[in-house]
Amino acid sequence: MYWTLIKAGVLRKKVRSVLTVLSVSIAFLLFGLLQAASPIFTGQMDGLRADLVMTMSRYSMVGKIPYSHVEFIKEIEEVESVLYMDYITSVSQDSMLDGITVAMGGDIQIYERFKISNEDLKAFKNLKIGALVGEAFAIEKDISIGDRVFVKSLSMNADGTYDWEFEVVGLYNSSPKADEMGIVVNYDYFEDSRISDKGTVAVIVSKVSNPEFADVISQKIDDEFTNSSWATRSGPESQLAASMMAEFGDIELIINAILSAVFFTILLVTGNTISQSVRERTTDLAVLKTLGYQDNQIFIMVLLEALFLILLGVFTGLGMSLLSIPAINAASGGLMEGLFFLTTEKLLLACFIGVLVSFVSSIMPAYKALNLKVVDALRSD
Amino acid sequence: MSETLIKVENVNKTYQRGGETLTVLDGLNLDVPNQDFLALMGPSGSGKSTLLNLMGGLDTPTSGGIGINGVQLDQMNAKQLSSWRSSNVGFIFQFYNLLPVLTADKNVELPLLLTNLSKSQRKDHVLTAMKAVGIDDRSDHKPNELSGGQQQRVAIARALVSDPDILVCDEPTGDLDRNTATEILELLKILNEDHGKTIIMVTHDPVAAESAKRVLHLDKGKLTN
Repeated sequence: MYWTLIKAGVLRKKVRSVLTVLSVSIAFLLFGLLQAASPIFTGQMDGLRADLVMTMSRYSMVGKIPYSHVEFIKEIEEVESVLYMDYITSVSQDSMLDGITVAMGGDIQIYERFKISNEDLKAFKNLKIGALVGEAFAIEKDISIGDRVFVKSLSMNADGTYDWEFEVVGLYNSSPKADEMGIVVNYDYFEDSRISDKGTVAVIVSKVSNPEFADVISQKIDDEFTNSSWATRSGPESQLAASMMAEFGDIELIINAILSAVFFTILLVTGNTISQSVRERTTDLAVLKTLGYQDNQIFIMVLLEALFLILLGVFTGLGMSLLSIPAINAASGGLMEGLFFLTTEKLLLACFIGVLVSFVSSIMPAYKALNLKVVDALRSD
Repeated sequence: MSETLIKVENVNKTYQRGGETLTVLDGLNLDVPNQDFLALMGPSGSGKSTLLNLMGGLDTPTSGGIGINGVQLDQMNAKQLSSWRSSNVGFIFQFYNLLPVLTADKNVELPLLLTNLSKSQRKDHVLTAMKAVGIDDRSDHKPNELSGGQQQRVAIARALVSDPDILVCDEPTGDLDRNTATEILELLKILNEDHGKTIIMVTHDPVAAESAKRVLHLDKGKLTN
């Protein structure tokens, strides 16, 4: 019954219905794309783990902490293995690298999202100047195993230059793909060869035996160094990344504010459309009531009509988002993979918002239709 | 003519407007026998449409009783009246009041969507009703593709499709030319005489009223003959 009536209502003004669906779909396309990109802004990336505790300088994201912290953390009972790293920032266009070279020591395989073959890892450990290059970076720069890579860095080399040279011994893959745009070198070689910041690391990553211990261990590490000049900030990787991104500003709040404004506008647009549609169909609705349709059936019909229009817009908008995401990932050369995605929760949230917008925008017109007096409506015809 | 189908007893209908009480129907009594074809005439504001609405279960009297087939409409609430209307009365309007985006057969089918009939049963009923009014060859046309007379035939088919005992017609020929009006009135006569429908028709047109078996005149809320 309802389908025939909904169809009749929607098709009465085809252009208006199409424009309404289109405006809703554009809003939800925007929702889909912003939500897909939110992991980039919020640090809530796919694959971040709760059983990895990250430790870094309390005062600066690029600050240093002493290597002795590594020794302390290794001794904590629930810590299974430790990785430590420092950054070799390239400063010149002479460098082959545009970004950061990471010097890693300890258990490199602590990050399961980095895939390194056993042979490559063995070769890396056996050669002091060995380097592992991300596959995406290797493809972009046309680097092969056995090649030499050069970095001009802020860190002075023991030979008095700022030039660092490494030999590629293997490749690694990662998810997100963006992490493949880098190069990993031996911390020991970097530590031995540098002049400044000796005995320091930038980040320590410790794998704990149970994610439930992560908060306690983080607190234990921070408490240990709280009054030292090398105070630390520790936390599970999954939380720390988000809190670091929050220091740039609450981007999620900004995204939500933009979306709220969009949905409020959509609410007004659809509310106006549904009101107008019901007003124009006063006689039709009165005739339906005359034929025996009950007040509550007419009420439900108006609600369902709005729901149909808006959900059509929601699905179209989300469909466009879902089609755009692989296209955007492909256009980025795969670098956005693992960073730019829509979760089922976000899709369900969009549907919930759609239902809510539909209900709020149609409740008043539906109520008017419910209370429509047949005799008055037909008399005014 | 047979037993009384509609019994209107001492019906009053008043409206409050700007603090004033307007009396539209004033102690009106009327018996309508089964299979009657009654024309209600009278000047504008005489209360004929109000009486029609009361007998069609669209409105309730301020006081008095309206009994149809032993059922007291004045005792019913809005929901009960809706259910009663859907199976007992067919409505025919001056301006047809078809849903513009639905085809003729879909318009006719509308009352049946409230029943438990299957799709094929509904289709059969629609076809029967459309054949009865001679419009079955226009079933997939939308109202704007039909002439006024054809639209009114579709509206009559819609009124007939649930096989009600009573047809309530509010100026059914008011928007039609004379020839088409005559055709529609002939159709109503057939429905009354051959199909046993009780018809109550409001009209301003004396020629249209001649098609009825009885003509009653209202003035100032009272029957004058």
